[in-house]
Amino acid sequence: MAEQTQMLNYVSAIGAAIREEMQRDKTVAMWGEDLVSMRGAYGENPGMYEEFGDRIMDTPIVEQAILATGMGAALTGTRAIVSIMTTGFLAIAFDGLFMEVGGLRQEFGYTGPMPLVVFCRTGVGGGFGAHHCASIESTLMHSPGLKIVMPSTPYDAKGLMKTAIRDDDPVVFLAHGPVYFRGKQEIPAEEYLIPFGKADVKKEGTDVTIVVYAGMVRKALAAAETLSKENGISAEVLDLRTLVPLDIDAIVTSVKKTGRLLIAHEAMKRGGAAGEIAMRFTEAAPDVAKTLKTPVRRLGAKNVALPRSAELERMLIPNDKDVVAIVKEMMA
Amino acid sequence: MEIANDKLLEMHRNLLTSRRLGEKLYEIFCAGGSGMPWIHRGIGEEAIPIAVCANLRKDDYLKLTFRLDYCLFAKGLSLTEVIASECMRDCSELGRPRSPYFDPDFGLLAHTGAGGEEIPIYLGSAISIMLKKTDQVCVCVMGDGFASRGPVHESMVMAASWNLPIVFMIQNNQYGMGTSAKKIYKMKDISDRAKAYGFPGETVDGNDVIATYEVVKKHIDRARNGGGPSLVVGETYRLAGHYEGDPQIYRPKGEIDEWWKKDPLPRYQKRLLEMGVLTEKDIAELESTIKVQMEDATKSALALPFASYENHLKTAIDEL
Ligand SMILES: Cc1ncc(C[n+]2csc(CCOP(=O)(O)OP(=O)(O)O)c2C)c(N)n1
Ligand SMILES: [Mg+2]
Repeated sequence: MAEQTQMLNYVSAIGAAIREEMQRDKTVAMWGEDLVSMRGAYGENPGMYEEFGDRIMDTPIVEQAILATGMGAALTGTRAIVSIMTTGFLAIAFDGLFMEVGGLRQEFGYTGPMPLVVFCRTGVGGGFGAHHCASIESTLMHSPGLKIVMPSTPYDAKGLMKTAIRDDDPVVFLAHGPVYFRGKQEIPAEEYLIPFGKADVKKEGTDVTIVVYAGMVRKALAAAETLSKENGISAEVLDLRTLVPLDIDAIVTSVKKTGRLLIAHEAMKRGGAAGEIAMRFTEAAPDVAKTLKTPVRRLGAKNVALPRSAELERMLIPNDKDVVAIVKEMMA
Repeated sequence: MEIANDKLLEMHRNLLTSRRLGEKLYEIFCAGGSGMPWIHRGIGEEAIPIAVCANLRKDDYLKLTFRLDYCLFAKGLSLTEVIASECMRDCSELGRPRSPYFDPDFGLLAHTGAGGEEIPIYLGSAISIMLKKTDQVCVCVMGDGFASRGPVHESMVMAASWNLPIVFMIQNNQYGMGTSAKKIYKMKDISDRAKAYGFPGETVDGNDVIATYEVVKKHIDRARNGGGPSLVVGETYRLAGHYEGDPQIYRPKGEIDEWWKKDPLPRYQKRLLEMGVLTEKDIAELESTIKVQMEDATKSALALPFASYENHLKTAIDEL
């Protein structure tokens, strides 16, 4: 029997996951700004409110309260999804997210459930300025208790959102804004979940491992194609999908095969996830690290603020050409 | 209160200019390629910023709501500077800051993308005023939506405690994105909030230029003379969508038509005509002067370069 599929874009895939989970579990509820009145500030709530009444609610513009109420609700029997429009506004709720949600349970040794999903848009594009697209994931990695999900495709977004909602720990779901409406993907109609901490080989290769996530995946794939066509270089593209937990085994397995490791992200280079991932690799597999054909390399955005200019913004973050160039250096 | 004819005419000139400027910016946005990443129109809400500016000096500090930043020409920016700023141009060539919207010497500390965060930043300027013992003031106009934010509350507590020279103003255009202010605020008069902080609060018809001017003036004068903070709420209406392209599914039928009838521009013109301060001929002449100014300013603004990559990189504090 042929498997049933549906064509969904990124944002509808997330919406579908939330809807399915809300149907499945009556304790799931979601709140944030303009989820009902505008069907989501970025269209991420296509009409779900009609079905769920009070379980999807609009809030005033009160990010600190949105975030922290999510924690309180999650500790008292609600499987909460709180929506913060963008990462810049997540920074507003930084104590709530970093210290309270990410730390308080551990500080008191509380091991009970705290099922909270913090849903937030991230990703550079549009020239709207840093508050609307800053990549702050590495900052969040430094909080002791936050799982961090950063899907690159509609398929991954749906499966990971379902896992996030069912998870008993707090999860920050950073959705990649620039691809919300860019292209649909065939998605199984049947339910599926994607486990956390499982990277996905988006393209197999033998010469170099390119570790990426979110917006960098598409660029790495484009680069891999160029490298293969023009330079005969076979790159393996590994999509992390979750930064915490990190699938270090997948990285080691791949690098064992290729002998070369590049980590690339759109976030600023200084203090970015790449530095952490490189060290994790070295610690996890010192023997492999010792036999690398070339030192580990990384790509990240320039260490300056994102300006309010689509053009400058594009120049500051790595693109597929940067990936090609650095891989060629690594092969030389 | 007797308002001098010069002042009345200045406000008319600015109100008309702001309307035409808003239209011009919309035209530039729709034409595309200008560098303006988005547009949040302020049409129909210009009376508040214009009446506020009419009470301020160049060295006073001012924050308007982000959708009405273009009214900063009424504080003394040139039309060229405003259009250039909206279109993300670099104004250094004019001997001005890259963005004249961020010019502390001119009383402007810019807008962050995170609404509400500016309020304590601006309150800091009131602290400087206190420390330097000058007679400047700070006016912070915020939307009904962002007025909910935590930093606004903290700023009001601190302003009251330190008796700082600031006027908080809420420009209630009835919506924060798609959310109606009525769904958020359960009191009839939002300025009642001031009671909780122990400073005066007052609500005014923000589409009535003269009324707004008078109320704002009272509170600005008070702050200038050491009287401390206060809250003014200006009632108005967002005649445009939140952003260009907003399908506005949240707006009840007919509501917008009612508010078009209260459009501050024709209302003010009618009033001045009745008072005999202005004639139809004056209006026509002013329209043509503004038209020429607008074309010139647009041309010079769009001739300015975008901020360059090299210059932007120079803002880094350590290795890139
Ligand atoms: C802290 C923060 N949260 C959310 C947003 C997204 N946002 C942009 S404008 C806006 C509504 C603001 O409403 P209001 O203050 O009434 O100003 P108006 O748009 O009516 O001029 C929102 C929620 C933001 N920019 N900053
Ligand atoms: Mg408003």
